Order: sequence, then structure tokens, then C-alpha cells
Amino acid sequence: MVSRICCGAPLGVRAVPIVVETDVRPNLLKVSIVGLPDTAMRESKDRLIPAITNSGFALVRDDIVINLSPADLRKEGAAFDLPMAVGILCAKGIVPESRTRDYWFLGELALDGHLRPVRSVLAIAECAREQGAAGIFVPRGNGGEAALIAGLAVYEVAHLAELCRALRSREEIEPFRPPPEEDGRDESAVPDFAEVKGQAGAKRVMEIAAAGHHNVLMFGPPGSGKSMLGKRLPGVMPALNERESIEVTRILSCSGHLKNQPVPVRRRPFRAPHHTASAAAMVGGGSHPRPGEVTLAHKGVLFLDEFPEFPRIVLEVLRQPLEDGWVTISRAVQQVTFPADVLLVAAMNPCPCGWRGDPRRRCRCSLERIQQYRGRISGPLLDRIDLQVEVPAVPISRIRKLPPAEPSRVIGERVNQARARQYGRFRGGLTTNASMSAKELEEHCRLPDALSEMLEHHVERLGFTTRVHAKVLRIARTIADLDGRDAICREDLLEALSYRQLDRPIESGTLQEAEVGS
Amino acid sequence: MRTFHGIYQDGVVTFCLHLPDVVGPVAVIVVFPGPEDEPEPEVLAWDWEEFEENPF
Repeated sequence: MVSRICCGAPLGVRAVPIVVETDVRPNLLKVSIVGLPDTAMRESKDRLIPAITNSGFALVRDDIVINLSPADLRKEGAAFDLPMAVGILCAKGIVPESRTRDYWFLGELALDGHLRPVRSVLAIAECAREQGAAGIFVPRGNGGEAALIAGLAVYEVAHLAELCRALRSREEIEPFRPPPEEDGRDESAVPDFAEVKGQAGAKRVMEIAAAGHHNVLMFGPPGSGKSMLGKRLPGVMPALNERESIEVTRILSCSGHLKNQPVPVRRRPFRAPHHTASAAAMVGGGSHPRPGEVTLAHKGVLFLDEFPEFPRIVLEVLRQPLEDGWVTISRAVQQVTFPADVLLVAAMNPCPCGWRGDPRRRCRCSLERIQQYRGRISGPLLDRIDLQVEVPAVPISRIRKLPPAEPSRVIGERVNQARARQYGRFRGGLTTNASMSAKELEEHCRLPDALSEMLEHHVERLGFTTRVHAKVLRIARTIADLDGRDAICREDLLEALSYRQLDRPIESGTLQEAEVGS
Repeated sequence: MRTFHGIYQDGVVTFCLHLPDVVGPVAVIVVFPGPEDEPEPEVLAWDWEEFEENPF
């Protein structure tokens, strides 16, 4: 007898339906799995027999052939243990197949028959609902994730024997009900801007970045607070909406990063890969493509410290996802598209020794060495970074005298108001100023002639490109939004111009030199 | 109220952004070369509007 059991296999951050066909014939006790299983799946046959017998069912002298359909799609992981075990039990007539028809099954089996949680549950549950399944059986611990999909009954089971009892009885099985979500459960884990004293300019830039979703590059000497500022940025960004929250949870689930986190994930991701990361680690890769850092930071912050120290190829592969908000990994057998809508925050020293412009130490770098160091960041990549800001060192004596800094909550309220203005203006199309096209710039950043002339004059004087001209306009739009104004004024443009500091010649001086002079 | 304040030093005028309640400049905005003929201008500090009307 051949049984058919439905389940799903993750593909990128989505899933595809899989049918587990099982044939049992009296002979020797032997299990064959066909249909492109990976090593973990091939080892399932060694888990299946002990798990089924330890659950109280006898398998004596049976030949079992399991086919995973479609056969040309590579499957991986141990999540197919449960559908294969149910398939065997159905084929043997121990469990009535009619009771399994409307359901999907997912889970890894221990040798004693207990079920272990698996990854990609959210994507597979979503696929099950799309395929018209009435419900899904998942291991205990995976129920919360599957229950995020409305319109799909979720059943958590701890042991294979428990599942079989439920399927063999005529009683209704009680679906899993997720516990109510706790309010503000993630807030304490995000560091607060109140802990950063001084750096008013850099904090202002962070606020503009969060309000308009503008990428940021900070440069300053070691210990000036660049990393502190970057880590606090997710705390002032608007909360994830329901759709974004599901997207982020699905990515973490498929990549195995969800672990014991409460679901859905409400906190914006923050990823800070080391500068030794490879291109595959950054954008995703592998023969069975896995998401990279740019996808793990989707809807959150990708923080790249020591920016010029990243290999050139790693920085260059970021260009396309930064532009498009997604990345496609192509392999001979399959192509997977990962979401990659991130806010990039990069940090670097102003020169190779790190001390240019710092009054505490003398910089010994020649102009050529500084140019070479900064040249590691290509022009096209720099063009994708809207805000460039100097983060000077703040003397300890001055930090002590500074009043308490503004908390993230207060900054976040201003950011939310600015975002609300953008949502209202774009009416469901675009969401942020950073993604405005040339046409939208024309419509939403119209300037009086005098201001247009002033901007053009300074853009030409400073040797900025047309792309930078558009960026200055986008930043000015966000600054006006933060101020609650429809019209962009002269001060907005001048402030926006001041945040393109790396586009200027190196000889033009640093903020600290200007400060010493004043 | 944001202000934009420029000073003459070492042959160039550096304009900086100043934010309310913050001591000192927070970002360099534009650097202008000093007057070509004179070694040092008569005025050494400007607000943006003053400088736009009468640079040197």
C-alpha cells in the first residue's frame, strides 16, 4: 500500500509543497529514501525505525521505499522525519490515511519517538495555507511560529505516539493557542541614546537617517562613539508593522536564528558582521542558498565597522541589494531571491592611522595614503550612502560637564511623526524619502528659483555629481519632515549639504580643525 | 534654530552647522577659498546671509 503525506521544504525564505510517498512490502527490514535527500535526510532512515518501534508500533521484515516528490528538488534537514514516520504508519494501516489528508506534518524525531523543533516552520505553514491545508502538526516549541499564519489550525505534539493516538481516535484534537503577547517585551534590550553624551551632530544625523531611511557613513578617530551610535539606531526607528514583523520572523526562522525568541519578532534587526566576512556571508550563498547578513538585517540596520577594511568584492556586492532592496542568488539547479531592505550604517577612521583631525594625537598619514585608504570605498558605493558625517572625539573632561542626553524614546517620537508625514505624502506607494525617484523628487522637493540656484551653485562649487544633488534634496526633504514643514527651506538645504563630507577634497579640513579655529 | 557660521583661517573660510543648545559646530558645511588678492580679509567671521551678500 502506498500512502501520501503532505509537508513542505524551505526554499530561500519561502517554502514549496512536498509529498512524502511511502510504500511498505513484506520482506527484510530495509528503508530506502529517494527524491534528492541530503545527508541529514538519508540518515532519517536510522532514526525512523527506532522512533516508530519505541512509540509502540511493530515493524517486522518490511521493505520501505519513501519517495520525496517532486524528485528534482533538493531537500535538506531533519524536518521530514515526522511526515515519513506518519507515511510508514499509514502505509502499514496503523494510522488511517483519511485522517491525515487535510494536514501537513513537520518535525525531527528522536530515537525514543520524541519530536524536536525544526526551522522554517513559518514559511512552511504559510505554504500549507496557500495549498489549502486545514492544519499543520508541528513539534512542541514550533506552535507559536506556525500560529502566526491566520486561517491554519496548528497542533503541537511532543511524541510520535501522542500524534498517532490523536489520529487513530475519532476525537477532535484541540488546536494550539498562542499565549498573549507581552507589551514592550523587547524594549529593554535595545541600547538607549541617553547613554551617548555629546556627539550632537552625529545624533542629529542618526535621527535624519531613521526618519528618511537614509544610509549613513560615520568617520572619526577610534573611541569617538561611532559603534555606540550605530547600535542605538534601531531603537529610534519606527516599530515593525505586522507585515514587516512576519517577514523578519520568517527570515530568522529559515536561517535558524529564531531559537527561543518570542514570535513574532517585534524588534528591528541589527547585524554587525566582522570585516573578514566573505561575499557569500554578506549577501547569501551556498549550494543550497542561505540568507546572508544583508538579508538577516532586512528591515533593520546593517552595521559595518571598519568599512574600508572589508574586502573590495564584499563591499561591491552590496551595491545591488542597497539599490533594489533584494538579492538573487543563482545556482545551476535553482535561483533564490532574498529580501534585503536594510539601512546601512558604516563606520571608518578618517585616515589609516585613525587620528586625522584629533587634537590628542598627531596624524602621520600622507595625503596619498589617506586618498588610498578612502579609495577602498568605490565611488558608486559611496553614492549609495546618503549621509556622511564626522564623529569627532569628545574629551572626557567635556563629557563630564554635559547635561543628560535625550533618550531614544523622545527621538523616536519625532522620527515617527516624520515617517507619518511621508506615508501621508506617498499614499501607500513609497514609504520613505530615501527611495524617491527623479519624478517624485520633482513633485515633492520643488524649490523656489532662488533656492534652486543656491543649491546648484554649491553643488557645482563642491564638485558634487547629479546623483549627490538628488541625495541632498532627499535629505533636505527629510529634515523638513522632521520639522513638520511641507516646504524645504534654505536652512534644510545647507544642513543637507553639510552631510556630504567625504565628497569634499581631503585638504578641506575636519570639524575639529574648524572647532579649534572658532 | 540652526545657524551657519563661517570663520577665516589658514587661507580658507569654513562654514559650519550649529545646532540649538549645542556648544560648538556639529558639521562642516562649505569651505570657501579666501580672497585672492589680500593675504587676510578684513572680516574674519560671518553668518551665512552676511557672507552671501558681501563675501569679502
